Amino acid sequence: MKNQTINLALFLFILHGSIFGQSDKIIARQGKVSFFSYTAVENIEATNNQVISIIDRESGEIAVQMLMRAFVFKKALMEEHFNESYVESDTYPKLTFSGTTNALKGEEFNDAPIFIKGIMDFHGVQKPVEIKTMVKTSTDTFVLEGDFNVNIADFAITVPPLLVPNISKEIQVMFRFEYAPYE
Amino acid sequence: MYKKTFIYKILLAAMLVFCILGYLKFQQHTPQDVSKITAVNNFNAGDLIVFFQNDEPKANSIYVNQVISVTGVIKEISFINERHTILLESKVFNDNFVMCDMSSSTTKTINTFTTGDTVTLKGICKGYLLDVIMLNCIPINEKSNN
Repeated sequence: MKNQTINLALFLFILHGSIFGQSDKIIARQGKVSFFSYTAVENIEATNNQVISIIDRESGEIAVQMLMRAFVFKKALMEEHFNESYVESDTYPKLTFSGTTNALKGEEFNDAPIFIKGIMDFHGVQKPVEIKTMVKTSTDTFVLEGDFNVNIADFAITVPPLLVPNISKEIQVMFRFEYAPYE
Repeated sequence: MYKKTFIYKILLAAMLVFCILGYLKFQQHTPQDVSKITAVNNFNAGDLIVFFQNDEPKANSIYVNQVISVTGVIKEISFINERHTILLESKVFNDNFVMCDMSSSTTKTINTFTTGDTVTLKGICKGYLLDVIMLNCIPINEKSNN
């Protein structure tokens, strides 16, 4: 609970700074996060195109927040099971990540990986994570993209014994954020 | 004997119907077609944002996963990650909007919209981050220029 409060406070701090301070902050309102679960029985895939992220390029702080109910599945029943049985979206409606990295100024990171360390707050569990990220910059765009794996047991997600063959223990997560100046 | 066979056939038919319904339910695709669903409430963009800001858990419990319609002025139309999105602004907030992820069937209509137009969009409310987020949105009226 304490960590959750700290995450929320950091997110609000960056957000507040973005609104009232005029430092070097950028925002992605329509970040894309997808996940895949591959098993021999079935593949499950979903995408959320409304993930928000704010970066303070001066300090290297980065915040990400998404609504679990905004994940879109190919099949309605998969979406229902995901929200009601696994991630319990009514109880835990959001996933939050708050982290830091070395300063993200300039174009020296172009097409080179960086590592972002932070806390992922998901399904009531706060867990330190380190995410490898590619940075692509040009004169008017700043893009972060990459992928990483999440072990569902780390976030207290339990799968009914009957459905264990259908759900991968390790979910592949892909993300892409296209930032613009926060005016 | 005849009665037993009849009951057996009825049970078999019921099981078959149950299996077919289950299969159809599983095969049902998302997103939903919101054009066939009546909006549970109509808002202007500012009122909807205020509602979520004042009491997010209450707003979630009432409107998340419900179809609502929202009227606002187009702040921005974007095409990112192969999705058309319209940001509706209000007179009240400068940093908070209603973000409408548009249904893929609305591309032609979107091309007739420009920033500053007042439009009413209907979609499925998903909750609130910095903006109220709505998916599968469709326009439900003629635009008007401010």
